[in-house]
Amino acid sequence: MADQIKLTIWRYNPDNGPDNRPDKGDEYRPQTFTIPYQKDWSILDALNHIKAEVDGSLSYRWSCRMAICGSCGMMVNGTPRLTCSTYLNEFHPNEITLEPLANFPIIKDLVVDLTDFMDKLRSVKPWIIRENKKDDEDTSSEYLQTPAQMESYYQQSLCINCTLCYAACPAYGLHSDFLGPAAIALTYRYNNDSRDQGREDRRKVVAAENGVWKCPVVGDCTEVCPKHVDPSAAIQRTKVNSAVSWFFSFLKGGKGE
Amino acid sequence: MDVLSHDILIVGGGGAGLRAGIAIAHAYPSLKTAVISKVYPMRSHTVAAEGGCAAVIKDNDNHDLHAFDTIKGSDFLADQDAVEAFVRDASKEVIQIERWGCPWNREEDGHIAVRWFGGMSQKRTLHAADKTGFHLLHALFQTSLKYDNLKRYDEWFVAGLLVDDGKIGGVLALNIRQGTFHILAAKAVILCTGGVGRIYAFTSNAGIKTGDGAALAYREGAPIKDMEFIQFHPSGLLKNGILITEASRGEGGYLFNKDGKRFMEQYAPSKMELAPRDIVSRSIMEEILAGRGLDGPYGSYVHLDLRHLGEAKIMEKLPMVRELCIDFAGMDPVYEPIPIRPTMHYTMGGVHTDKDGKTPLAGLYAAGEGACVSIHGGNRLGSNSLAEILVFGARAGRTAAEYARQAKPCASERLQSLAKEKMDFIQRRYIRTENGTERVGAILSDLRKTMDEKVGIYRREEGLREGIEAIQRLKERFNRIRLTQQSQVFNTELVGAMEMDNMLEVAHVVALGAFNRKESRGGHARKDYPNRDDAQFLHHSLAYQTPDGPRMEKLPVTITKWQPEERKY
Amino acid sequence: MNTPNTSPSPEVTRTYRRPIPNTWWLKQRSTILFMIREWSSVFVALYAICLLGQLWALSEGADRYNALLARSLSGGSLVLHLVIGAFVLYHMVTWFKISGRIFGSGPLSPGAVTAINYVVWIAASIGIFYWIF
Ligand SMILES: Cc1cc2nc3c(=O)[nH]c(=O)nc-3n(C[C@H](O)[C@H](O)[C@H](O)COP(=O)(O)OP(=O)(O)OC[C@H]3O[C@@H](n4cnc5c(N)ncnc54)[C@H](O)[C@@H]3O)c2cc1C
Ligand code: SF4
Ligand code: FES
Repeated sequence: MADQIKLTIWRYNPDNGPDNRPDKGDEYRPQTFTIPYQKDWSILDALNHIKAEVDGSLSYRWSCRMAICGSCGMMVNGTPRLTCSTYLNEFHPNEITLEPLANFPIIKDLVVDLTDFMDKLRSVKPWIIRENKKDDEDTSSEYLQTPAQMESYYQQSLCINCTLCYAACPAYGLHSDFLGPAAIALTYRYNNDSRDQGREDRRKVVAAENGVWKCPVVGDCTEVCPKHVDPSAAIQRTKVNSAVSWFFSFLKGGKGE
Repeated sequence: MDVLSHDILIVGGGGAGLRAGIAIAHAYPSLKTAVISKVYPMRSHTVAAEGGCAAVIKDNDNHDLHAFDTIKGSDFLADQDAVEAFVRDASKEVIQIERWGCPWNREEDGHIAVRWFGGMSQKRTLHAADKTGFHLLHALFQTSLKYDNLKRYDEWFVAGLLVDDGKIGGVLALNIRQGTFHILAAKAVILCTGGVGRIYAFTSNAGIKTGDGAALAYREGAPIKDMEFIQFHPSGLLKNGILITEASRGEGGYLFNKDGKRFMEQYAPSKMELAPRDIVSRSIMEEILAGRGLDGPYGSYVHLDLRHLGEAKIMEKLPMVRELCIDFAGMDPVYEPIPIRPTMHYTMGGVHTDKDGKTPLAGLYAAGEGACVSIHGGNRLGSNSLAEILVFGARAGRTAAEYARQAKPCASERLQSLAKEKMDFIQRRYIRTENGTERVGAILSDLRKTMDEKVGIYRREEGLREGIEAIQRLKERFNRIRLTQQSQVFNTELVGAMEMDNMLEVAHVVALGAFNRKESRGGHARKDYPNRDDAQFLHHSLAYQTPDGPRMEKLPVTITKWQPEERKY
Repeated sequence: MNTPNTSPSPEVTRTYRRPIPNTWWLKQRSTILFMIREWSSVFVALYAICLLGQLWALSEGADRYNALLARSLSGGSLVLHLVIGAFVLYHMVTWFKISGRIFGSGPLSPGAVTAINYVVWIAASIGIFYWIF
């Protein structure tokens, strides 16, 4: 018999279908698939195999299959990973358990609800803010930026929005109001871009109650990040920055807002 | 069915779609504009582009040079008026996106840096390391968030265009999350849906590149153009064709056959590894066919060697190449040569438009890889496509906005009845499939195999005939599909079936176009007609849908100041 | 929050939120270590209280202080101090590591920042040692 591998997939289906079959109800339950083992298959290849050949009703997200679009994150044996770049041979002959990304509500099977994340991304104003609004329409010349200036934010600009860091973050799991790692890293990216002048605008969001101070420094976000964005460092540095600027505005006799 | 009304709908949230959206939201704030995308915009395949984006920004370069390189690269099938407009706008667009935050690589003095790219006579390719598309897409997406008047429908799938009496009235779309269909009314629709790479098995393209836009337009009577021109990129990573960017050659990488010989000497002595893609890809195939390739479990291949560049340069200029090799081929290009073979990469053809993105169907516009203006003609030069999505995204956006300002919306009852017709069709064809037997997955893998084998880099009369027949049989089989998923919520099986239908439609046109074009030009290489034949084939091919399959027409190429000449590098 | 540009979902589909058990942190090494660190703060506070107590005793005169000292040398108290010491040390070591992560960028690598922390700590300890004796 050819070599096989077991995949246990946690499934959830919120509607019972047109026939309202109770056995297709909405409980969250595991289902095990035993499929041929191919040593050069990624977990995503295995899922595509299951979908095409075994069970067409399985839902999950994917697109680029080259670890850049950020669609295919799942909990692989309890750890958030990109499934297109995680291979079966890392686990074989042991079995693999797949769950939807932790800390997010589940829409169906391995698909989670990202509405909250998308709102958070927007809330930090992730675009170049200029005091003079006309600046970004001027296409006669580029803003100058030296490689060293670019270096100071480049790492944080590499985020692919895969949300693995949110799935790894216990603070986000316990308080979904928390702005979270990627959104704060993105703030850091724009704040440290020499072309940007919007630090003050963003401070209201990152230094607010649900901003950086909700982070208890577990550091798992940085551990799981497939693009080495190091959101944890971005958060801690933002804490330092906002504490310093709070202190100075306090000295100046402001409210220390 | 409820109706959501808009002035302009943009189908597609990739580079072209977002650029169009911003152009409208910025300059026409009073128009109700929305971007619909079947995946979250930042997941669009623009994100995968690696090497760079071409534009004239340096003093030693000029627009005529860029235009000529593009036209020569196209094997003289590009429309020269469109190319001239393109190169002029590109210079502005790349600065515009810099001002929106794109982290282009820089010179020491802070100016934007450029690199070499295949087929370009100057260094003119701007780049953000080798993650250019990623940075470009995220800069566009994040900038688009600024506009309150740019609405988004994320994870909505456009299933049909609603056309009333030759005029666009809106689209019928599936809210994937809820599994419900809705009418999205609009005076103008811009298709920015990307290419059709998924019809091939060995491809650098994502799973979402299923040619939906071309199929949507084609079904409503708008022609699709030059579909036979498919670009094969020289360096697809073994085993499944993931792209190793041309920048790896732009930065100085070499190609070697199994005898350790830099074989490009023989095929393009002046440009060597930096000849245009169609030529390099065919050279690799010639080596492999002559038995000078290396062999492995995934078939024959050649080596792309970066070792002499050194780790520091690789990490600075090509970090993603290294990441991809390690993650997807288990080897490190700092120490080993990369095993590669040509991979299906780009769809030169698409929805027929003029240089302002207008299609022959009133109110319908198109831009990006899914459109065909044509500036790429028979072969696109690397890094011209990212420039194209910016230039023509913006142009189509502006043209559509001007149109929408004066156009009348389609009457609501009329939309309802059009939508009902479409809905009945969808119900019959994709949803009520209890009596079916065929699995969509099996049809897909057969189609991909057919396209790889019969409509690949080299094409021949018999192969193409067999290919067309095979596609017709697959279409037959598709009439008997069966879906297993009962639930409506996030039913990717339903989406997959609609995509499959689109792919079959478009693949048929690709194969028939290739069959009819009895010459070799650009990316279209016929073994039985190895030469370019300007006397008979210096024209675009337009395909119209009929019940018996595509009907092909000819369209002359616009030539302004560059007469066709032999294409040698 | 201002979200005009996300898709309108008239009736949002029913999603499922997985319950988080109280033992969530036991599943992973990193979160266990994190919890230990959180708890170590309690011991840091305890230690501060001990110090304050000693200062207070000192201000009350030599007798009071000697009495406290005598009680502190009992077995139980020694064990308590050892435990407190261990947690405080753990808190310090992890903080040095974290501060490396925060401040270590550019020319100063995270490792260097952590090393500087240790150097300063040792120097300060030696300084205090000399000051006392
Ligand atoms: C691996 C790779 C590397 C590349 N590198 C380069 C490079 O270095 N330089 C260069 O110039 N070009 C490069 N290209 C080509 C270039 O990236 C693409 O041509 C370009 O990004 C296409 O952009 P687009 O906006 O037209 O389409 P896409 O980015 O593909 O976007 C299509 C959009 O349409 C949406 N959509 C499609 N169908 C539907 C539907 N039915 N309903 C709703 N939404 C729909 C999708 O969700 C998506 O948002 C590369 C391509 C690949 C594959
Ligand atoms: S910071 Fe890293 S883990 Fe988090 S979303 Fe971005 S890429 Fe993913
Ligand atoms: S499929 Fe795109 S990141 Fe995995």
